[in-house]
Amino acid sequence: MILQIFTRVICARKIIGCPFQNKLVLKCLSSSVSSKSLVLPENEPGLDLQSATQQQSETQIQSDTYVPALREDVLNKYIKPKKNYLPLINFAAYVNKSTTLQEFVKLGVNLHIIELTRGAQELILKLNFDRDVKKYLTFLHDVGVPADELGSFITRNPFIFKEDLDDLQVRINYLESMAFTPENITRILTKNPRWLLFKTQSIDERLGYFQSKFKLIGPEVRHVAVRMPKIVTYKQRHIEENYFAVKEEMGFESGEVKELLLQKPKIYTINRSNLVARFDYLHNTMGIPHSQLISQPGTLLCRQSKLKERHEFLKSIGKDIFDPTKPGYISPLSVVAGTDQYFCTKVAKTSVETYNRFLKTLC
Amino acid sequence: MKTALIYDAPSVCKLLNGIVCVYKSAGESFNRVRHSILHKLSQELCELECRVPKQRISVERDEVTRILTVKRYENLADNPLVMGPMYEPNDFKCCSAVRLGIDTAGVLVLGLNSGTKDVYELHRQHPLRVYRISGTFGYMTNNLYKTGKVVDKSSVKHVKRGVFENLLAATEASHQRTMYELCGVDPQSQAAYELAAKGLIRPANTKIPVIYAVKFISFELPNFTIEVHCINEYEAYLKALVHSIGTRLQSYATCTGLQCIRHSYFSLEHALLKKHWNLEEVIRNIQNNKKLMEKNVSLESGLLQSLP
Repeated sequence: MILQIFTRVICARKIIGCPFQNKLVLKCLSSSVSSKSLVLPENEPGLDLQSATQQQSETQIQSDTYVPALREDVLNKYIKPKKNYLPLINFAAYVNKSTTLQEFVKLGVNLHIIELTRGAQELILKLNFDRDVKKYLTFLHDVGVPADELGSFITRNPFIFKEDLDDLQVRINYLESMAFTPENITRILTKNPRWLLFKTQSIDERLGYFQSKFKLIGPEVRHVAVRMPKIVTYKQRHIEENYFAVKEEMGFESGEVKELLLQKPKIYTINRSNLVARFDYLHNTMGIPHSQLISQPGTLLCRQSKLKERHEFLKSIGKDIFDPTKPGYISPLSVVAGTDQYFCTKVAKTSVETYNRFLKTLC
Repeated sequence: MKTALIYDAPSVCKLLNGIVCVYKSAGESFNRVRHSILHKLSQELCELECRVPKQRISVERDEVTRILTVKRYENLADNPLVMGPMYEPNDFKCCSAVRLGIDTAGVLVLGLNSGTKDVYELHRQHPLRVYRISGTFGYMTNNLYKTGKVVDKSSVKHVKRGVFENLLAATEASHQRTMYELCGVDPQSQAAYELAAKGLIRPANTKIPVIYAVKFISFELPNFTIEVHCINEYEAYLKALVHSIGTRLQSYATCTGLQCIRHSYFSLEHALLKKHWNLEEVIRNIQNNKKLMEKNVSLESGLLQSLP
């Protein structure tokens, strides 16, 4: 109601610039909420006298009986909102009264995260635990989601309460028909709770997309879906872009593209420009060939700053030998994996202090 | 010295007041550094023993006996699951008087909570910064840094070490002369001597960059490294300085690295590396910095030590 008035006032201010008229408009606004009242009766030429007076008397009666005219200072408060004013629903205001929310807290649901999800607050507040929530929890339990994962499941996917239970059962049946084992289904649901929001047809299309795009066979599709369930419901456009980056920009063969997907599906979901920059450093600066990157794809997922720091250190002590045929070979994966302690003692064979001192000379 | 083990978050949080000196790497913006350090601190504080959740008190009346009783319940609105984590990055005040640019690495002095005041107080005394700048002769880029597009190229064979050193000395001398001129005294006069005897001549304005020394570090064609002692500088100014060195040697020069190796009292040895940005190291750093500032009253002590 207040918001409506607020927006109307802004509209009215735009229409009529004069402050005196403005007051009149505000009065009209406060007396009746219909949009007709935006037009002032005196200014309307086509209105005959009788009807105008009638309207005026009507508005007077309304203002006397129903809504008192809003004072200007009160209105000003809404016309000039404070800087950090944000209309937010906060579950903390309801949690002591609502048993449903209390049950959610007992389950370990992060309500402050759901609060920020658009559209989820109203959905959660309208739920009744016994009537609406219990059947979903028993369903999830039957499907194999462990009890301690239920909280994080609902946190990440509060919209499951919108879906029909039969539909969910159909989606599970589809997975079973595609020869996913119960353990696989449990892993898929715990790793990617949003999977159940997608229609059977959509999931089928997405699995088919991976099969045709990367030329996978049945077990390989299942391997990818179980290894990283998030990639199946990920934005297809992003995967398409990264596919282009891997194949055309980096120059991997189609068989190698598939190999990368099977070993590290995450490569297709990370930021494309970061991925290309990292590959550029690995291939052109460190001189690691494609074949070696295929055997150790973990190097493509390391943060570039870390990679650069460690490579420069190895270079400064003359140990940057990444060719397996030469003596003193260091595998690229051992450079990026492990803590600094492990890297310094096992790979670079120096002390951590030396490495720290070296880091402060980098620029 | 007393030692005590602290394991609860509120008392640890009280220790986070003062100046922190961190090592910023190139390619990272100031805001990113600030966010990551505050994020890590708040995350570690939440893992400690936080305050006891508040209780909800309600007065209830028994319908039959009509006796009012006061009852205490657990206040769920104060539960971390409902209201969010106990400590958030926004709970801390953190700022710096000198924001290093995105391409600059090195010592960054941050004020944490009540330390923000100290940082600005330090800045008002015009502290001296020392930069180590590396550059390359032979090409010019569109943003005067190595990341830009190469615009023009030139020969480098004629650039000799002696000429290069002469130029650096001339740059330093011309800046010193302008310093005296800004103060309105002749550099050869008695007044100038008395002014210099008081200590560094500091500019009244905080906007005009002033260079106190340009030192030669290394020269291997086409690369070179110099050290610049200055006040009121900014990143673009230092990049332009390298460019001007190139043009005055009838060649082009491009900046390839900027590193702040000293900021007033703080040098590289006091700076915390990114992997050390945690509660324990930050608190230790704050304590050390407090001692360091008490011990060295004069701001110039650092400069006199580093100059031969």
